Amino acid sequence: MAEVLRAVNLQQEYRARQGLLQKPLMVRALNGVSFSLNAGETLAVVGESGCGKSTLARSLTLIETPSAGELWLAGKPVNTATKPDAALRQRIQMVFQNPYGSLNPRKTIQQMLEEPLLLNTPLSSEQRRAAVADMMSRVGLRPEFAERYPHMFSGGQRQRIAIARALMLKPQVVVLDEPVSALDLSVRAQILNLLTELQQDLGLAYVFISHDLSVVQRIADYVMVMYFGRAVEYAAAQTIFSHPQHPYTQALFSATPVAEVGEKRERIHLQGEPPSPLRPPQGCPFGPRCAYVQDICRKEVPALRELNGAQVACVRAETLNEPSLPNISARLL
Amino acid sequence: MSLLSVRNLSVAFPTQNGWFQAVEGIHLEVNAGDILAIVGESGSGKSVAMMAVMNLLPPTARITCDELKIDGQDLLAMPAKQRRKLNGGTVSMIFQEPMSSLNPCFTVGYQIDEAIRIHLGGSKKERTERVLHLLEIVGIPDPIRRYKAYPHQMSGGMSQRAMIAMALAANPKLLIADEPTTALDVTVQAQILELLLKLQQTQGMGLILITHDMGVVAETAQQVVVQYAGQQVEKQPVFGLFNTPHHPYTAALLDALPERAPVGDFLPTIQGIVPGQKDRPLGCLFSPRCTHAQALCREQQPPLVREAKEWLRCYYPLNLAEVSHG
Amino acid sequence: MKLFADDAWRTTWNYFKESKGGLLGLGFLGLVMFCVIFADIIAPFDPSLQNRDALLLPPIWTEAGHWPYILGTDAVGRDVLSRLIYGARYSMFIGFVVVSLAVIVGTLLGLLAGYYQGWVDTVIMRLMDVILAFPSLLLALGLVAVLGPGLVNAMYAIALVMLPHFVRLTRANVLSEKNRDYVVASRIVGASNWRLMFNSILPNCMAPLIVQATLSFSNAILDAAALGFLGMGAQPPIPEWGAMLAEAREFISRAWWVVTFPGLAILLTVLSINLVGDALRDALDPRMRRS
Repeated sequence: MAEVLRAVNLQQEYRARQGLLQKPLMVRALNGVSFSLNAGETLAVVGESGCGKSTLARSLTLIETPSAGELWLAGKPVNTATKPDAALRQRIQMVFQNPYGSLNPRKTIQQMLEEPLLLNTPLSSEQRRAAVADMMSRVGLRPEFAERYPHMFSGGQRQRIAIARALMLKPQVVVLDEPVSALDLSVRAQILNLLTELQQDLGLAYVFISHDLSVVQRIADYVMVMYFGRAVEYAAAQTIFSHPQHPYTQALFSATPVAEVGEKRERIHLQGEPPSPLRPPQGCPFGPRCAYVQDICRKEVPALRELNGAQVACVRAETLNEPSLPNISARLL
Repeated sequence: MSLLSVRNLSVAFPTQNGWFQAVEGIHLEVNAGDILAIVGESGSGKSVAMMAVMNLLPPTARITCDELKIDGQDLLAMPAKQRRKLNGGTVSMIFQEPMSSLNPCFTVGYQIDEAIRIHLGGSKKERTERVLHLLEIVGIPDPIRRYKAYPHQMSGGMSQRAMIAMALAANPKLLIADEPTTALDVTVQAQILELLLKLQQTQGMGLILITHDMGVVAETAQQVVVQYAGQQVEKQPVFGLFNTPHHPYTAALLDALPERAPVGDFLPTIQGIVPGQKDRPLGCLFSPRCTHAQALCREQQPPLVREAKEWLRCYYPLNLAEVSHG
Repeated sequence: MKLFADDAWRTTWNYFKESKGGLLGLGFLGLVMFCVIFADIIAPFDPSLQNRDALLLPPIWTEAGHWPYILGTDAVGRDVLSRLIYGARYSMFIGFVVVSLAVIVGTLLGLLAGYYQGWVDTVIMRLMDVILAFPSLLLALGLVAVLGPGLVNAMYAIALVMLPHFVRLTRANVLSEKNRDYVVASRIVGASNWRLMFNSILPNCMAPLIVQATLSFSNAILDAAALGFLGMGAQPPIPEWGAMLAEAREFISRAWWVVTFPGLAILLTVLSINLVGDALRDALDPRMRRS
């Protein structure tokens, strides 16, 4: 299948002011992330708050130009140094987490959905109207509602509107930033099904950012686990859920509660919280919380390397005893 | 004697279009050492019901109740001032957003100290010792330094621990936790849940956990109440609820969870949305979305029926050998 | 560009009408507007017509007062009521022009400052700080002294004095709105800076601006009256309320009505506008709404 998105060593730095007189500190929110994605496939990016997954989304959609690294869209390099080409930009769109904040409260659905066409295509107003009606029925909304305002819709319907807006320009890649985590349980499944259906029909590639592992397990083809701005493990979904190799991945899987009552499973107890980006730890960023940490881990930041069909950023991965697998991955297979 | 007993609690709010029934006919019973989870989607009235128990609702709310007792004391007959004293004393509550639940102007130690001063009193030295003790049992490292920390200097997980310490200040018999881990990361959530369970056991408290996360329910609760559109639709012990749910809503909700759904591209869904104030159906509130609904369900609201330790509001329950009508 | 949805207007009105003060103020403003529009018909006299036989005539309900001088006459025999009715035109005109000027310029500057930040922000905001550093009436007086006394110059001066409030308010709102997801979403589909500012952000900042504009309306009338009173605003024989007060100053001890009625007119109008502004703020602020 055709590769539609490739990121090579993406980095994003921010300036953090410490005090009035101190020199501003450079904080790396994204520290060298690489992946490639084919049409019709889903890459899930998993991690806790502050791990850099939202920064990744902003870099991929060119809301912020990455401070270093390369980005390829549909086989063409995106010039990250200058203003990105509008035609290239149309190929990657985004759906936000909170459908209450991502829709302009002062615009009708019609106005919102036709904005992409108005700005990027020569379509006439009738053609735009037809395209909007078409897209609305496609995402399961009644086209008669086009003149309504966002506050007249429920959370699930709003997320459908947001998805419709992202698809108006027929993109090849859609970045989904926690698209269902703000929705109620009974609506969540509806939206996930819609996303699956659209992917199958339109051959979309998804970058699915989430902290909900049960959702990720369901829809991802590949999974990238991020910690402190880096990928710590990157593998096919089946591989990573059946055989998580990085201690952080194992802990994350083990901490996820599972909606099933059965025998109590052993948890990996993770102490403490992620480090502050202002004071990065020496060596492996997960070191301070890791149960298997040794002196070698504190020497330098471990790079991703090939191990049992996955890419793992841990120098001790081979020597770790595999913990009793959490239910969540046991059920996948 | 039960710690908390609520009979037929209803709450309504005035709106421009008349009264909005936020909670309708809730029955609860919690004993010392119990862990009860209340699950439901947004608008199911799970938080409002507990706010009514804590008397934290605005005065415009219309609250009706046949019985409301905490630790044997009848709250309905109690003057408001005495009821306020109960809050934070016999009953404590923690909330979803630890960051906004702590006052940013005061140190963490001062705020916990204040809770102790109001409910227990004691000298400054005794109180400070108790604050440090509390910070220690909720697992905050370096309590002496943290005593002087301001909320913004702490992470979300640490703030929630501080909130728990404050809630425990007066040795409550009942702790109500309203989505205590929703704003936290998975690994931190696991730590906080573990802490709550440990404290509940060591202190012998009753714990009410309000949540929308079925995973959290399955791993922590003993009894589960399921709420839908303000009504209590089902109550079961946790094992029964997850393995033999009786109410079609519970069953459909569990089926729609990604980790429980059968393998395949698409998840089973519940069609439609929760009814609002204007489109409340005549019969069972779930009937428009229910695949098992019959004519009776659409015409008449099923009553809440008690059967041993279980409560159910449905004419045609699932996973039941014998069907018992109300 | 539609600033509000049709039903948003309706909800706002539903909340507005719950405020008794707001309705009362709106009622009085309606009366003032009636005077403004129909002054030629309802005023019994020409406002500058002098009647040498009826100097300083007291109002009609006192013993010395007589028809048709309902509110009496001033020192040169002009009918006070007619002058008040015509004066409403000037006050409303001043309020409208001053506020429009301040809102348009202020919103534009605030939008630029908040959206671009950096040096644009610094330049605009420091300039506003300078304006704010002067006592407002003193600054207006100084400006009028430079530009020359007169109603139009007074209006420019007052508009300038009000400018910083609008700039700061707009900037604060733009800062909070511009990082909202819906703005980012528009940017992703290719909206230009200009479109983001005026099409996405500005309509969502309007509610507080409308309230501030209403409240500034009364300030503009007050300031214009003050300048008129000090002889720097409207010049005689224009029946501007502040100027009327100034002319009547020397008769304050023997002819109370020449001072009281213009003062009362200013007081009631300003009070009404403030009541409407308060009610509007409550109606437009979602936090004040009961759900």
